[in-house]
Amino acid sequence: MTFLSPAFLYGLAAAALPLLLHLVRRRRVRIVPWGAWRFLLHSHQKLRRRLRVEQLLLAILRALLVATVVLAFARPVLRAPAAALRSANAPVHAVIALDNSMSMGFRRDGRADFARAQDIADFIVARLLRHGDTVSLALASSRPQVPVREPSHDLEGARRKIRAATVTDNGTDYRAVARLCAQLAAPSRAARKEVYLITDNQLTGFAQPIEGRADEIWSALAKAAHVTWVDVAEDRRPNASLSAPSFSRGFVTPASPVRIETDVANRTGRRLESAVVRLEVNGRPAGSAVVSAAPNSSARATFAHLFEQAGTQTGRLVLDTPDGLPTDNSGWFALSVRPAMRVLVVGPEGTAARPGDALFVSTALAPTGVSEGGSSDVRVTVRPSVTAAGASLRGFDAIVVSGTGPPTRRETDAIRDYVHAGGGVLVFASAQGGRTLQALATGPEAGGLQIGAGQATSLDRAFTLDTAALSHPALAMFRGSDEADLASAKFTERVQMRLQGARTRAAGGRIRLAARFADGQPAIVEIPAGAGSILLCAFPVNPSVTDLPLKPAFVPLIHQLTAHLASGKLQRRMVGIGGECVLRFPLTSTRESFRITPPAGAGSILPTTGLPDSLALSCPPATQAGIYRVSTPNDPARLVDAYAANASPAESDLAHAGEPVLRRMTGGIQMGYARSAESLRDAVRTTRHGYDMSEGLLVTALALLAIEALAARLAGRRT
Amino acid sequence: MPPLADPRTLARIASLELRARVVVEGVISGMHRSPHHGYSVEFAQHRDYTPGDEIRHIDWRVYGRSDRYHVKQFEEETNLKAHIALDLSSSMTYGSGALTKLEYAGAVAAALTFLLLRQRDTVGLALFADGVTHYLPPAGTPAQAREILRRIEQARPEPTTDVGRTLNDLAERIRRRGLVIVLSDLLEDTESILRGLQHFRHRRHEVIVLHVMDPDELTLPFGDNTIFEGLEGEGRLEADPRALRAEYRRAVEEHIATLRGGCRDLRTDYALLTTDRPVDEALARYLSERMRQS
Repeated sequence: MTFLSPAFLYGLAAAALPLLLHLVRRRRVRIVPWGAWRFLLHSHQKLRRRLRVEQLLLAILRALLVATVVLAFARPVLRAPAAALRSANAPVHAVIALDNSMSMGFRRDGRADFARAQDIADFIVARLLRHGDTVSLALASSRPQVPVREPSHDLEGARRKIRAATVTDNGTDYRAVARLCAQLAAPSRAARKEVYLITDNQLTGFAQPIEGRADEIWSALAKAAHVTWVDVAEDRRPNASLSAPSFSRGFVTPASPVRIETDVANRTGRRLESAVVRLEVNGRPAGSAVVSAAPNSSARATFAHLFEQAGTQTGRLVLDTPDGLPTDNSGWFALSVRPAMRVLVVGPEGTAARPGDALFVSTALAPTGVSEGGSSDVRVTVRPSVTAAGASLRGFDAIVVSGTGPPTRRETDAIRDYVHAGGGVLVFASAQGGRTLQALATGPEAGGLQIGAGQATSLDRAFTLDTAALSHPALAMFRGSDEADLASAKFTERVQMRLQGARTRAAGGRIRLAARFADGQPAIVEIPAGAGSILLCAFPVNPSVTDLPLKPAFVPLIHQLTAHLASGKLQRRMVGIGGECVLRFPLTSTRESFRITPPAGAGSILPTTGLPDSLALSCPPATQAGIYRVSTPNDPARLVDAYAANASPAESDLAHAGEPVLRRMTGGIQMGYARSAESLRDAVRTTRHGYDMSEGLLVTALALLAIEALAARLAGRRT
Repeated sequence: MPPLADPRTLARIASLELRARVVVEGVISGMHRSPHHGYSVEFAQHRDYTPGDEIRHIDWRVYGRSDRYHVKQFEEETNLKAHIALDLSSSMTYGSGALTKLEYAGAVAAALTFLLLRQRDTVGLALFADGVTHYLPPAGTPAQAREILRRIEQARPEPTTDVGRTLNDLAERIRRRGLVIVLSDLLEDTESILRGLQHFRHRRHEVIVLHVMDPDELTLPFGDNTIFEGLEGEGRLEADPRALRAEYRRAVEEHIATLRGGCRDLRTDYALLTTDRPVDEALARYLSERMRQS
């Protein structure tokens, strides 16, 4: 047995106090001349034997009580004999996992939790390890780094690396950290392996999706080493944050404003009143919004912004409410504003007397009034067939096929290539029934979708759309809307489509039912293929079989669907931390390499890769929230392109996992837990040397106190 | 300010006679009826009325005949011979408050002397310990009162006591039927005491037992370990009073209950006087109770 606070053992002398008090009291005994002797003698003789036993018991109880309290303060640690033999001077290999996720940047009392974690890590190396011990150091987050991988005897070097570590914008993934720590502990041959996980106990850190069972990961770690969890955060950390900005349209042009939205999450524990959210575009103020949010809820800030010119645009939304974690008070965006949306409409235009399907579609996309002098962000090209469009379809942002006959093999291949390269095709059923759809709905992507025969009905029993069941984001504006009278459109012809659940799932579950008829039959189905997608509509848009082209809802419907398809062709310029971005440049570009400058730090020059139709620049995974600028190698100031990275919203949720939750989340493995350097030292001593008996002794002392009080009362010492 | 007959006040009065008179005044004013009512008195003579005489003693027949106020004077019969037996044992010297039991009992004895003489009874005194040490036959003169008070004042405690045997001796000595008032702490075998009292009753004496106890003796209120030293040479006993208290109290209560019950069986008056209570109040309460019963 060893003692964590041996100085208290001197207090054991106090166990003699009851005896001393007894002797002192005997010496100082009072003498009383007494007349009523007979009663005194009578009671004394009657109780003499009992009194002796009681006095002895009480003296023992009191001595035991004092000794127990003293021993409890001396913190005795009981260790198994085998452990005693092994752990006397056994070398230790310590794996220190220092959480440097974004939440560790939370500041309280002018100091970040990460700085506290660094102090603890430094304390472990400087105080808990001795000469001859080894250390590995990991910076733990959803994208962990390992500054010291192999067990190193260079403790001073490890301390320097601890001091040099910085907070990242990464998320928290405790299971990934656990797996890494087990790997780092494995190579060491030290008799004792210890893992120290220094973190802020962020509850969302346990919620990351993982491979394998969580319990197995923690069990493996517990088998690999003794784990000590050091919690450096307070139980409550108020924080308000912004989500990554979202746009109402994927395809943005200078001709029409776009709605930019962000959610303000209020986790401050009090009402967020009139908080200001600012919009900055290209570094200049572009508007502000005021939001209020109840505790533990969120409020949406909305901006309608018109990008004045085409090209790469960057910006951010800023929440002007100071809190402990300012990093997540900004939401960053980058987008490419296109001059206009170029749409190829394939189908018969017809005549003035007998207009064809394509005429309705093209008119809806570019209304006559607009083409006569107004501005439109849609450039429509009408061709009778796909192959008549020219050598390549790539110049178009979206293709609408309507009222054509079954496509030829060449046309089908051209459309499929276009879609796989990221294009979007909207196909309306033609008067020839489902053959057009059937021809395009091929390939493995369409698995699970069956195109049936055409189906006709009378006008009084016409098919209608179920607008209440619309689930596709491009059709969200029509859901339950009275203004857009999509539900009143009637169809006397349609093509039967059938989605088979099992096969749909077998194909990856990517086929999406966008709209259905009132009788439940699929009306619009989206088939993702390659980088693009195809929207199949089970109805034609010819007025001979439907009044949809004559409905006001037809114009926004066509615009929404084509904009949705066109956005798929746009390059993704907003990623999460760790996300990768591939930028494409036309083959006409003479640049073979570009400079990528992260939000903070020096830029790096990366080469492009030649593709058949473009040059691709594969950007490294984003490590910081903010704007990544892409420029020419020699002129960093000239912005060629950009992309934005935003931290995971889960990292802004600073909910704290207390010790009971932590133990449950880690599968109840044997683990030390500390919240300060002192408690860590005690925990380590305990784990290295055995079982800390202080708590048990204190409980025993309390029990003895109660017994003594009861015994003394029964013995008549206290009345 | 405490009443005059409070033990703390009495303790500051050195003269026993003065103590006794203070007590008597208190007793008389504390009683609703005078204690000498009920004893037969005989007319002696008339005398002139002087201011201060009671109006009810004016003889209105004489006034009707002579137009002068005369009051009737009575010569009281002295049928009652009272003996006050005062315990001088060493145990009576214990006192936790202003007065020891002996001082308290002496004050009671003196007061009773005055009260008895005031109603023309004769009073005698017996001081006893192991036996009767001093005996003063009853007399009704003022000189008797002074003698009784002098003897009480000069009395010194005796190392040992035997109340039972003393009461038997005294019963043998007092031949004429009368009133015997026993003032003692009665810290002896109850059987012996009751046997002595029975002897008095056998001789057809009226007996009043005034059991004088100190409050400490009733409760044993001490805290820490204590060495008790017997006042009558019993030796020393070290004990923890807290441990003994319950059993001690039980024994005391049993002792008192036995005495009270035995006295009741012997049709003997019994009253427990504790030395922390005002003497006049204790006496007045007892005498009132006695008159109420009679």
